[in-house]
Amino acid sequence: MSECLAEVLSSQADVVRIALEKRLQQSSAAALAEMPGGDAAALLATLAARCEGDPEVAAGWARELREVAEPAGLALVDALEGLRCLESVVRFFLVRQQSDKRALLPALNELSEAVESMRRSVVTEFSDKAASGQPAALVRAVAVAPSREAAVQEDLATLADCAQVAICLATLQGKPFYVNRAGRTLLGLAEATDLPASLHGFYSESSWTQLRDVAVPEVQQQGRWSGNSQVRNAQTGDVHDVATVMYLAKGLQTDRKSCLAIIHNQMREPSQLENALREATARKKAILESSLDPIITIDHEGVITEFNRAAEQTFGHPRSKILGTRPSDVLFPSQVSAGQQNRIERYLEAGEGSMLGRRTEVTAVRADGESFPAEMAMTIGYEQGAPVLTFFVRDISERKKAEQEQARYAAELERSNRELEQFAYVASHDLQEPLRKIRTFGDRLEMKCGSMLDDTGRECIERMQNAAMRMQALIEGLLTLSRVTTRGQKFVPCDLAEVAREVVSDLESTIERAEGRVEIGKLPTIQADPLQMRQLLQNLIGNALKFHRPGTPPIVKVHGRFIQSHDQRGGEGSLANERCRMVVEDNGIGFEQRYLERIFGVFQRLHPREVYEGTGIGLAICRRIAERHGGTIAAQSEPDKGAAFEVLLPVVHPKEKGSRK
Amino acid sequence: MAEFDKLFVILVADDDMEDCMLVRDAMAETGVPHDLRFVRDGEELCEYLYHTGEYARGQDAPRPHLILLDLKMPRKNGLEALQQIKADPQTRRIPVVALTTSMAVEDVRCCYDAGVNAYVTKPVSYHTLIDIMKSMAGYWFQTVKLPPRD
Repeated sequence: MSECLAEVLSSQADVVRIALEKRLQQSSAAALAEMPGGDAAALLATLAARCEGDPEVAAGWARELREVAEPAGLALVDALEGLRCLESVVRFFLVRQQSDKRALLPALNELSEAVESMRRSVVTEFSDKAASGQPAALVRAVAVAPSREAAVQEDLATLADCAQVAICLATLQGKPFYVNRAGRTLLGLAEATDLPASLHGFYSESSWTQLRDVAVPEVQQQGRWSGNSQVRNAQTGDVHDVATVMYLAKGLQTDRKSCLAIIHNQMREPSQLENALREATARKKAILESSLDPIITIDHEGVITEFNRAAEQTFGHPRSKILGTRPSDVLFPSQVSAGQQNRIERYLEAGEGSMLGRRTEVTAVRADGESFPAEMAMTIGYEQGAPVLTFFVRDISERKKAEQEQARYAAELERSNRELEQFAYVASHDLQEPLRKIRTFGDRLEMKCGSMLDDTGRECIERMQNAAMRMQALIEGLLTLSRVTTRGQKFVPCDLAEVAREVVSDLESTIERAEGRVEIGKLPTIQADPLQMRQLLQNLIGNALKFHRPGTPPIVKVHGRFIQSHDQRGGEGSLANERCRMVVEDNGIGFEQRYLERIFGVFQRLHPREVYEGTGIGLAICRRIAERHGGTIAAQSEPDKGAAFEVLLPVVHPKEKGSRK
Repeated sequence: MAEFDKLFVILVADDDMEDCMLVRDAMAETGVPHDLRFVRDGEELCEYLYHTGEYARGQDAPRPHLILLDLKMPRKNGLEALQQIKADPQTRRIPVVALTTSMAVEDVRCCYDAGVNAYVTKPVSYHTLIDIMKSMAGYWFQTVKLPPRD
């Protein structure tokens, strides 16, 4: 606007110069007398430079001008300066309009009023005091500045259309001549339709009466009125309550007459956003209050701002007592949580997220002073731009107790198992001694005195010997079974094919007697206790040979390979995931599948001793060996269709278990 | 089988009286001239060999040609006694045969590690025991050359 003014001034340079000289002479003849002769020239040069658009030169000259003018009390420069400022303000609001529409309109109103008054002051300054007739053209130019004014009008109209409040301009007589877009929507007026001759139709009857009789007179007297009114939508006939501001606008009408500026702010329904926000807030509150676990929120200064009902119950403190304290003050006062607090502070300061999303165990303290273990997770949020931390706390004292109980129970079980194994080992070992004596002395009796006994006597000795032998077999079986865990050896790489060949070679005579055959297929090398692998295969192959169908020579097949287990504990494809599947299958008598569980039990037999000898402990040993290796054993069979025993064993053992030397 | 030219002293270390009796009877069946001596544990075995304690007078304890050693004995067990005997230059040349019920691989290994000359499991059958005694006597007193007695 000052450029515009400068333009006007420069085009009217002579008039301005004369006006200024007169002004200077009049207002301060003494000061002018002391001024150097080139002052007027400096003023002219200033104006010329402004016209040429060299701001630096202009600024320098303007300073000179100001130095000249100010002592003389010349207000022109101030006026120019004021207008320049206002122009900046307009620009500022134009930039801000996107983000701050509500504030825009009143600001613009004030602005226009200020511009108006500045303009008037410039005009008055020149017309009343400085100029006497000649600067009339200047006065007109400054006051009207027509081209610029039109641009401002257009800008204002655009701004008004962007505004969300309904703006209406009307003559003092009540004839509307402008309604902005929001206003047209509110009033139900189509975009390009002509406005009615009166404001009357815009309002409900009572509102119109009030506006006409109260508001307009007040505006004319005091410049402003505000209150509530009801506007009618011309299309739907609906009536809306609006907050209304009315004031006297003096520069908005092109004919310079004052007019009514009416601004309607609809008392609208809460927006979707507001509804959503309110719902979210209510939901958050409901979640907070119904949570079974304590939820505590601290603000960016580490002060507790939220303490839900569960927290009250868990900690035993009322909410009112805790709000405003720090977590370390009352709730987590131990050393551990002091560190915690530091971390919280560190987080808040530096944004370190070491605790976020992680479960941490802390020690918390109840109102009665009892401390309890708690588990805590943390999440960060922002409230009004500042970080807030929310803690989800869980009282885990019950769980801890249960865990301890469980650990104690497990330890006890382990100890009792160990004792049992030890007992089985010692018992069977010690049981063997007298048994061996029975047999040896029985033997000796038969040898020394056999000839002195009759047949019954000799049969008694024989039966006694057989019974003792069986008992010894049972004891040896038990001993072997207990040794699987008590006397297990280290897991080392073990070539199952080689073990199988050794076993077959040991069983050579059995195989020959049965006229059978053992076929050893591919077998891998795994980490295992070689002696136990040998025992496992010995029992399985031995069984396969033993339980053959009468008249059918046993054919036993042993083979194995690596398979991928579905256990996800190891990485995909890692050795830890891999298992060895070893199968021993035969063409023997088989068994009914319903006996599957029974055959792996201790001393469980499916056949009379007289038909198939044995103690019934071999498969129990197999199962225990498989289990000690972290594996399993299972079987598939049908009577007379042979049987297949499948052993699944880990290929490697991340942590060796059960080996005691 | 060649003639046995002398009386062989066999020292049996076993706390089990019945086993001692069986060994004695079985040994009698072999027909090998022998002088069986019995000690009840490792402690007594060492006293016998070193002429200490009960055996301080010495003449009651002739140096054995062969020791039959049970492993499971009170006070000082067979393995401990074996380790002591085999560590001492005075006694380590005496052949020691472990005669025990234990079939545990570890026991076998430990005994050989300690320098046992043979490891025999006590048989269940009396017949077998006689066989064992016969072959043992044949081996130690006839086949092999025993270390010189100083």
